[in-house]
Amino acid sequence: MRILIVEDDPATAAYVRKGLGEAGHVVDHAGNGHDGLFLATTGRFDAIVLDRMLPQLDGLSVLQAIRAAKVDTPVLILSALGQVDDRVKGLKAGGDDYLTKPFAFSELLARLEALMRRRSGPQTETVLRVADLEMDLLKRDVTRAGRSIDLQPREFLLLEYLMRHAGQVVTRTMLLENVWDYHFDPQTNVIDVHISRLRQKIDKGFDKPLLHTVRGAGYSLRVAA
Amino acid sequence: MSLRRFLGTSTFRLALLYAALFSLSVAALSGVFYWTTSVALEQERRETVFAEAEALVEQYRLLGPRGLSAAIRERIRPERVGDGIYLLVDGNYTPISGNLAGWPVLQSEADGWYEFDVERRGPGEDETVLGARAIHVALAGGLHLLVGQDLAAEEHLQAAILRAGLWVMAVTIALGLGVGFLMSRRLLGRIESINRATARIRAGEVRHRMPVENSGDEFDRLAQNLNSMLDEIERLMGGIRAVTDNIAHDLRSPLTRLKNELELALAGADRDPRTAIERAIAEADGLIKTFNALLAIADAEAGSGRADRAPVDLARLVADVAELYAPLSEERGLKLTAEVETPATIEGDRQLLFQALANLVENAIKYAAEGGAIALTLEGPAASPSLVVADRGPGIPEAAREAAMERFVRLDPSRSTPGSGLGLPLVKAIADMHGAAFVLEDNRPGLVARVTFAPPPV
Repeated sequence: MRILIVEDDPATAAYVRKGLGEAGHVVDHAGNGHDGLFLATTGRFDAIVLDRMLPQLDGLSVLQAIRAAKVDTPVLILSALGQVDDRVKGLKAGGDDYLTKPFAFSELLARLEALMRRRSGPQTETVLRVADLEMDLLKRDVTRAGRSIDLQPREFLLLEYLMRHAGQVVTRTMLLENVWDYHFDPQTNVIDVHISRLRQKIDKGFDKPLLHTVRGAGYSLRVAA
Repeated sequence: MSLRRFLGTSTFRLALLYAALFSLSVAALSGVFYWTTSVALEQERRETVFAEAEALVEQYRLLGPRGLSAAIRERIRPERVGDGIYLLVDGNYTPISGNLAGWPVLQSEADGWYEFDVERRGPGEDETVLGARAIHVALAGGLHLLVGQDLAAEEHLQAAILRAGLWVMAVTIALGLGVGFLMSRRLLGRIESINRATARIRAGEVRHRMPVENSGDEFDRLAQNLNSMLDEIERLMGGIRAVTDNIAHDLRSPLTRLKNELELALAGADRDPRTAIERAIAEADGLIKTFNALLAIADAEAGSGRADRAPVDLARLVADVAELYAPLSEERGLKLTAEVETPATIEGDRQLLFQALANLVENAIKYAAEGGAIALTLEGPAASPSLVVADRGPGIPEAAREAAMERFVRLDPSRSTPGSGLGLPLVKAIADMHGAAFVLEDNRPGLVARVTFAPPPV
């Protein structure tokens, strides 16, 4: 995938660039708002990482200009202003996701890949499949290898999100935001407990586990390599 | 105080203003007095002249020119001191009798009244020129009669009034300046005492306070308001000092550990550098969490007037928090129950309210005793609902409850329990932002944390 980074801090830009490169993405970098806007409007990118505070033209203005030019490339806003209404402002201006500095690279990568995935595949399928795990969204039932699995409503949503992002890493905050619809910073391992309960239901008794913990990052639902 | 500085003070300016206002009003008063007395006096004297003229014309009618002359001579006898002016002339204006040498040169004439100058010499006096006013009567038989008065008396009186007026003015200005000076010095003296107190506080005497005279006037209220402001500032400064001390522990320790880990990794020593680096990253993550919590508190504290609020269904919030934390509490052997006594909806920030409630539940989970219960309740009334989290843990002694809401205060002095010490302060900041009261109570045993929303303004 081709990703544009608009970031004026060379150290952060190099860090993100290197990480995304290692993850197999092609990365272009713009060091200020003008260059960023120019590159973004070419429409060649699958995702844009946009810093909020930029020289010449600030991030929100760049974002508004991009959207005004009818470019719908997913944009992840990166900001040192970790305040709730900054987040709201960023998303209102046309951003697709928001991440506060300092961030863990794994979080950025997971979110970017989720954004690009969302774009590439329309989510109209009614049955999700990962290996022998199957989720019927209409009947709202889950089976693994033909065996029915009984899930609580929230567990169903959690599994649905993991299945839609199968093969990708999803972080704990992504789960909180997308499954519970709350953005906050728990001090406890509250998400891990939900995951381990889900794991009990979908993996226990099967020889190949599907729900994996990715150390230092989050979780991933996939067939082990 | 130098003269220049004195002239620049408000005391002097106010005194000057008082004096000017006093003088102006006295001047206006004197002017009116002067004018009305002059007019009344002149009117009366004109009437006297009129009556005199009528009497003489009557003499002429009864006794003829000779009788008239006699009457005039009688009136101007030197023994009779008076200011009367009489002149009888024939058709050629040749004087027949009277105390004028000849027909005067008129200065002006209005309504039959002539005004002119006369030369008068009193007994033993120099000759003086006086203004005079007279009425002209044309008598039957071609004679002309002039009856009038010189204006010496009027001018004397007016001069006397004027002199008196000037004296009054002088006294007024002196009094005005004096009284003004005393009054303004009294008022401004109190402001000056506040200024002096401020200077002392600025110079470092932070415990000093404004003098209060207990008279309950505006100056007292000003002093009291300033004093309560100073108390608040002192309290905040105390808070900052406590926070600084705590930061020294809560931020410096992980930073030191971070540095140590990295140095170990660099030194290579006898172990895998990756382990040290991973630990360093974990320390850095902890620091980031602490900073984020601090930012969130600052944000909530600054956000009390924020516009983007929406109705928040508290019952749903309680259910969501309970649902999120039920598995975790169960894993720790705790029983988390949620109860909605009265459904309620308030205006607020859903995310922050969730964070606040989650912090309270996390706290309860952290401190609750094994096998204990945590009760999450939405209490009524609907207009002023309360979010209540009650646990059966060790609770917080009453004396420490206020401190528990301060940043970086952890009640465990050894700071061995995990946590940033920012959980309750964030709840407090979020409650404040929503105009809600956050109190900690005794659950006998355990802790009750209660966030009560104020009823909406009517």
